[in-house]
Amino acid sequence: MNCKNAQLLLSAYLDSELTGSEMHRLRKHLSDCDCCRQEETELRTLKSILTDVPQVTPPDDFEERLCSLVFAQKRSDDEGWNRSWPLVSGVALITAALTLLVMNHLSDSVQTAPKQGNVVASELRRDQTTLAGANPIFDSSTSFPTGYEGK
Amino acid sequence: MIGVIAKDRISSREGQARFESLMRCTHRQAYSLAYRLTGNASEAEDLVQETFLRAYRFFHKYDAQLPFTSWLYRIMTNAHIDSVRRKGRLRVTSLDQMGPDGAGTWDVPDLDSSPDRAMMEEALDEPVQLALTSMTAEFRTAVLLADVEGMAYEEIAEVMKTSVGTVRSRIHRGRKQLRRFLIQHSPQVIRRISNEL
Repeated sequence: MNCKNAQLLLSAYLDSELTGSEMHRLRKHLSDCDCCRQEETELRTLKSILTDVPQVTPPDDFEERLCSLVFAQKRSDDEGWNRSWPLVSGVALITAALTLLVMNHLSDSVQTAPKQGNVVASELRRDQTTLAGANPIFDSSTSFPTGYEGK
Repeated sequence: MIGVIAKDRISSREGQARFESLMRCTHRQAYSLAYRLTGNASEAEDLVQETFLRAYRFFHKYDAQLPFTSWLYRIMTNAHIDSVRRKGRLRVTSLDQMGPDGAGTWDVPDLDSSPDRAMMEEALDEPVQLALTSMTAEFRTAVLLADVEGMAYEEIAEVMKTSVGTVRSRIHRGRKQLRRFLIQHSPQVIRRISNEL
């Protein structure tokens, strides 16, 4: 193990978080290396500083303020939902109705569009009646069957 | 139907009582960690409030087999890191920069002139807090959970939702950042502790 690898393991070593083999190799290195031992001492000092930092206490009234705030906020969230759900449901209902209306309208437009087969049949009928000398506007009884009707 | 509603109401009331009891037991510890994470009382209060609000909202997801504080700290560290990112600042503070009161310098106590142990602890606290505040949020969180809360790496990994290897690296790099800061700005802290050890 070289110094670079050893120093990467030092923090975990001080926290007793190394595996057995890592600890064995690190201890062997530390027994031979003054520089890494110095590093270990300094990190141990630092850990001791952090372990000893005093607990910071909150203000005296904090506990009560905290409880009031947490439960009041939850109540307000619940009440907000209870107040708003009829509105949300109403909007959803109107949206659904409008969607249905638009879909119906589109479907009607498709159905009322003239079929291409009927247009051709009507043109053929007009040509045939004209050829037969009848007026296609006033006398539709003289038309000839074309075979395109209904297509 | 009425029976089901009544049962839900009872369990909700029981849940609230249980949560309140846990909150009253743990809020001091939570405040202390929040103070170390944020570096000041006002932000610590905000962080604790946000943490307990989130915890109460998702209390139904809490697994009672696990320690409540571990679950709470997970929420707190996420809330803290979210807040730091949202504010767009990783609080890196240099003693060479403007002091907290707008003056040109920080007021760092001279530990060599305060022999009393209680006074010394108090005096040690400020430079250490400044050093903690100078760290990146992820490193600070890992170091605090390990050294101040005394948590194992696996537990910290669970709280921070990361791997044990990442925790190991964050703690090591965090401590080195901290030491560099203290040596540069408050060498008397290191000196005093080294003499005691």
